[in-house]
Order: sequence, then structure tokens, then C-alpha cells
Amino acid sequence: MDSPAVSVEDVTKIFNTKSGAVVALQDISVTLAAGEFISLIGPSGCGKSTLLNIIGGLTSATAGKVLVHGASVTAPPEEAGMMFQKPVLLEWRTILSNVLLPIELKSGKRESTRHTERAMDLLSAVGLADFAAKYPHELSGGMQQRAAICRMLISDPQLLLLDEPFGALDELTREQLNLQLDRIVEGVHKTSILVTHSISEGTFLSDRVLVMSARPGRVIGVVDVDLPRPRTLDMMQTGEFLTLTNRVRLLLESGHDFGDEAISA
Amino acid sequence: MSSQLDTAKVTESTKLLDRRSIWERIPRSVSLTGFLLVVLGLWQILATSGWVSPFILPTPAAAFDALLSFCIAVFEGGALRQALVITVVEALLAFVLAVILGVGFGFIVAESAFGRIVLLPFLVALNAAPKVVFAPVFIAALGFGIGSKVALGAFIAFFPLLVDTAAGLATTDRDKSQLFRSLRASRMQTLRMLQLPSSLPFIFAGMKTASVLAVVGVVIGEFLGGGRGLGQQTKIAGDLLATDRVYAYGFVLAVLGYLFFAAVAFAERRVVFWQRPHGTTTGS
Ligand SMILES: Nc1ncnc2c1ncn2[C@@H]1O[C@H](COP(=O)(O)OP(=O)(O)OP(=O)(O)O)[C@@H](O)[C@H]1O
Ligand SMILES: [Mg+2]
Repeated sequence: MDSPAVSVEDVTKIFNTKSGAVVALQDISVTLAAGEFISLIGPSGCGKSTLLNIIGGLTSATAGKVLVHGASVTAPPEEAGMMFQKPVLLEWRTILSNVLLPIELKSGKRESTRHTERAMDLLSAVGLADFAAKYPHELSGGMQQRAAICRMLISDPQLLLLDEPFGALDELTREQLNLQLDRIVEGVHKTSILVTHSISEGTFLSDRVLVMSARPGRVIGVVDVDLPRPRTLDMMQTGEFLTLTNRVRLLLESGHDFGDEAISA
Repeated sequence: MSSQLDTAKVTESTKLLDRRSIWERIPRSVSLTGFLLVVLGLWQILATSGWVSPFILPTPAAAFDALLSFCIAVFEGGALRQALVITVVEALLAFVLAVILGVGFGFIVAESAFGRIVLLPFLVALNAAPKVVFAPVFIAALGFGIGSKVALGAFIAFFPLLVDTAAGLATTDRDKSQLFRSLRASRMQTLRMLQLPSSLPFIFAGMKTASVLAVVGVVIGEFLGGGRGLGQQTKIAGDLLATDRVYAYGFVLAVLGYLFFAAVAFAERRVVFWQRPHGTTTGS
């Protein structure tokens, strides 16, 4: 219990490309207590996805190390559930069996059918109960993304790694899903890391917002969000919320390399 | 009648907006029948004009007569029905064998280092060779029965399927692969539950090509290796300069190839059902 849920220690990531080495991350250190929710926010290409993938065991760090619940990450940790920018559903499976996929992979088909009831509960929670037997192509993008939330949660992961999960959705759907996510995470005290481009989304959901700079990616500032939980959409209207988002914005601007390319283009 | 009038009116009123070509506007049944009649008409003119020898081009009526008597003969049983059955069976077996070989080697080439590095160059070289040259080898090895035809048909048909299968397995969506990795899927699970279903559209494309090539292959086999199939009957008719029968049998073989193709296409729509509404998952 004493060891942090996630600890990232001096992680550096260098990609060797044809045009030379790209320093994607430089000396990143972050520690998350169990149940804590943090957001990573920063300019495009600053290494947010790379960092998340390193924590999720999908990419290896060039230097430094990552511990999840005290164990060094060398492969995707069992306690992690990931969600990507796209829903990534399998078109040949129904929504229900897409949600059950993690169980089927872990414990086999028989065991997965035993989780049907739980999958249906999750689908009901996001308003998809009537769509369990449908196929992904019969659902809208937002509905698919909600199904992906259920798939992530079915195996009850203790650590949620969310890479811009709602980035492709319209503002209102996004707020709704954020609210649902907040309820889910709040209820079960999951540790979560959210990558986002939206200052208000990051602030709304998080205990801490980490602001990163353009390449090489570094953490240039942290904003603590001590708004009470559960969060409500009304809170977004308060002066306190505005002050917090402004702090994030200022940090973001200070670290933003608006680039010679942008000017000369 | 009235509906045609309505169509005419609508066409009239939207003339300025309607940019579709004439072929898109008239009903397909009309354009297809019309085109067929034109072809038959030209054929009739050409065949009766005296410019072309009847040994090269019989009249449509003569070819149709030959087709009709073929159908009657098949209906009554006897040698011609047997010939048709033999060729159908050969083509079916050749197709099944081609699918097994094509998908099997496709898997090996896409999924193993041995296949990719060692086997592939040989297969590509083999494919570059005109495959008919191997017909004598198959006949020497398997005799003049259906075995040598099945082998040649399968040999000619399997390579496109191999290429499509390998391409399908290799182009599995990156996001989905990452999902499977994050879920700690084993290699077998990834192959069975991700790569195989993802490559089904490719495999079906290969099977459609193979279905037609299988018929072509066994007919070539019969031309070169005798036997008692319909290809052989066509060859005999040709040797006797009974060109009307050559046309009739050629037509029957074309229909056979088309039916094979249509059967695979039908199965494809059933199995790869998610491909129909395009663009839901591929985005931009
Ligand atoms: N596999 C790779 N090979 C080479 N370079 C890579 C690779 N993956 C990422 N990079 C580089 O590392 C940097 C960080 O990429 P990353 O995808 O982590 O950015 P990001 O912060 O998630 O950006 P975005 O907000 O646009 O998603 C980029 O400059 C990118 O070009
Ligand atoms: Mg990213």
C-alpha cells in the first residue's frame, strides 16, 4: 500500500529515425498515488502518447524506469487498462463480445461468457444496453467510444491509461462521457492518467494537471486541482475553475514552441 | 407505360441538373439486352457475309443450336453429361486445393521468417514461369485422369491467393495490434482472433481470382492431357472443325467459371458482412 501506484523515474526516450535521433522525452519523473487522476497536456508531438505507451509497457524507455505497483514494467502490466484515441473495436464481433474480449484473451471463451452479466451492466451504465447484439459499424463514433470504455473496464483494471479517448468527439458528447468517466473512476478509486488537448477536460477530471513542453518533452509545470469530488458540470462555471485553467494555459504557452515552421509557412 | 412517361417527364425537368451519362439513366436491363442484340446482329452479319469462313465463325443460330443440343444431351445423360460432371468436379477439387495451398503458403510466408526469407523468392520465381510448361510434368506424374487436371488447375490458381493472404495478414491495423498487445494476447490468439479475421477480405479477393483460374486451369489441362472432360470435348470439336460446338462449349465453360465466381462472391457477402457499409472504421 505504501508504494505508489505508478512511479516514472527519469525516463528518457530517444527514437532513432533515418533523419537522426529524436529526443521524444527527457528526464520525466512522475509519481501517482493509488486512486489519483492526472492529466498530461502539451503541444502535439511532445511525447504524451510515448510516455503513456511506456507506462503501458507497449514501448520501452531508452533510459530510466517505470514501476507499476512496485514492479518494473517490461511488458503490458496486467493491472493496466488502455484506451486509445480511436475506439479500435473488432468489426466482426458484436458490441457485447468486443466488451468481453479482454476476458476471453485472458481466461478463455468459457470464462468470458460468465462475465456477460457484468458486461451488460457496464453497457447499461453508458446507455448501450440495447446495442449489445449490434456490430460496431452500426454504431456512431461516440457510441463506439463508450463501448471501448466498457471493454477497458470489464477486467477491472486498477490503472487506466487514456490516450485522448474523446478527442474525436463533439463538445457535448465529450462532456457527457467525461462526466460518466468521472463517476466510474470516482466510484472505484482507480488510478488514471489521461492524455488530452483540452485544458478544461484535463482540469475537470484531474487531481493534478502536468503540462509538458514541446520537444524534447519535459514536464514544465504541475497544477493541483483541489476541487471537491464528484465533479459537476456547474463547477466549470466557477471562478476557481477559471483560475486553474488559466494557470494551465499560461504554462502551456510558456512551453509551447510555436515554431519557425508555423511562421514561415 | 405511365411509369415510363413519368420517367420521361422527370428526365426532362432535370435535364439541366442531370450530369449522369445516358448509360446511367436508362434501365440496365434495357442497355444490357440492347448491347447483346447489337453484338448478335453484328455476328450474324459477319457470319453470313462470306468474309469470314464458317469454320472460324458459325452463325449465331448454329452456335445456339449446338448449345441447345448440348443441353438436351446433358439432360438425357450420357457422355456429354459425364464430361460436364468431370470438368465441374475437377474445377471444384482444383479450387479447394488452391485455397488450401494458397492460404497455407500465405500464412507461412507472412508469419515465419523461413517463409519470408527463404520460401518467398522461390515462390515468386515459380510464379513468374508460364505455368503451362509444368503440364507435361503433372501428366507424367499423375496420368491422363482427373488428377493431372486438378493439379494443374490448383497450380495455376493458388498463387494470387497466396499473395492476397500474405498481404492481408501483413496489413493488420496497427491500432488493433496495439490493443492486442496491451491485452497481453499470445501470438496464437493474435493470429486467430485478429489477423485471420482482418485478412478475410483479402482472402476472399484471392478466392474470387482463384475460382476463375481453377476452371481455366483444368480446361488447359484437358486440352493438353486428354481425359473425358468438357475441355477435351471442346478440343475434339475443334479438331473436327465443328466450330459451332466449340462456341457452345466455350460458352458453357464461361458460365461455369462465372458460377464459381458468383458462389465465392455470395459467400464473401455473408462472411465479411462488416465490409459492406464502407468507411465506418477506416475514417479518412
Ligand atoms: N515509432 C516512432 N519512431 C520515431 N519517432 C517517433 C515514433 N513515435 C513517436 N515518435 C516521435 O516522438 C515524438 C512524440 O510523439 P508522440 O506520439 O508521443 O506525441 P504526442 O505528444 O502524443 O502528440 P499528439 O498530441 O499529436 O498525439 C514525435 O516527435 C514523434 O515524431
Ligand atoms: Mg498522441
